[in-house]
Amino acid sequence: MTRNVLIGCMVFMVLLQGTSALAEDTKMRRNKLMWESMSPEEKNRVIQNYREWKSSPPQKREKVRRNYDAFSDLSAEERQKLRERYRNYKSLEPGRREKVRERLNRIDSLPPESRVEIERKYMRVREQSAHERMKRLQDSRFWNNLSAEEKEIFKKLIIPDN
Amino acid sequence: MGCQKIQEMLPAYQDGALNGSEVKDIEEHLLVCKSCRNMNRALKEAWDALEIWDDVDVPERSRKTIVSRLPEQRKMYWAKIVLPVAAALVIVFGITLKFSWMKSERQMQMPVPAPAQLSAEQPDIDEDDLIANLHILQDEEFYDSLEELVKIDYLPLVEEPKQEETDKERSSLDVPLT
Repeated sequence: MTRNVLIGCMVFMVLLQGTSALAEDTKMRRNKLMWESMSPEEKNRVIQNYREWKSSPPQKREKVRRNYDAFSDLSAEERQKLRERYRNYKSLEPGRREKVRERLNRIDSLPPESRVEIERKYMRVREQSAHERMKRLQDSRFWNNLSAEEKEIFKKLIIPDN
Repeated sequence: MGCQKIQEMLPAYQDGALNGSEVKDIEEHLLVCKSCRNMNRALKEAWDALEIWDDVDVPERSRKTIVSRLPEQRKMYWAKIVLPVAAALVIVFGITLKFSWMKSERQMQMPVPAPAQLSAEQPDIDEDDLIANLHILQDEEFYDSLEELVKIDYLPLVEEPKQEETDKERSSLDVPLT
């Protein structure tokens, strides 16, 4: 029995290593093709990003890598929603974006038990349709405390495809 | 139909598995051929003898011996399946590794014109590193703000302070959102 488990673990590890090596190779090939097909302007933009990337602290690079992996794990629909939200977020004037960030930072300052509770609620909301989420949003105290213009901004950010 | 063919068909004949014309052929042949008739009788007697035998219980000792050997057999069965699969995977992995190693060796030996050109133009750029991280670099700002973008979903779920407190707080903010 123990021997079978050991063999199973060994097979799994070998398979895992082989798969990750192949995935890495595929990613490199895809990136190389993408790089070769880029226009000189795009290449310059990427080179500029690369310089900033190299000069940024390792923690930030690690965070960005982690976020990339988390994004890759999402469904196509969720990825699309986040892309759309990013476009809306980026289009905000710097002052407004700062205010949104300020509100988001309030979440970080919540006690751990409240964050757990929010996470629990979020898991339920995730399964809801855009219409149901919109209704829930409109019933929330958060929404009722916003001005008309704030509502427009948050509507675009929270339900970008609505 | 010759004797050899008839004798081959006798078991099926006794089982009633033949069609009408085959049965007729055999029966006509049995009437005129003594050796086939004898063979048919012997076969019938053998089947009849099997039917009168009673089932005999396996002696307890033999049963125990057989059962005690079963786990060994099962282990051998697993070893027969798992070991070849594991060996095949190790070989595949080895070939992949060797292939990757040969490829990297070749890349190290062969001059690659594009990176040399880019490095010559911009010595601070390591093109291989750039390409390895291209999927992130292309959209770095997006991935950097991903946590904030996800967190927006949580905003309506956060219990806001009461209306009066919010108004008080809002009046104290230097930069209004509106």
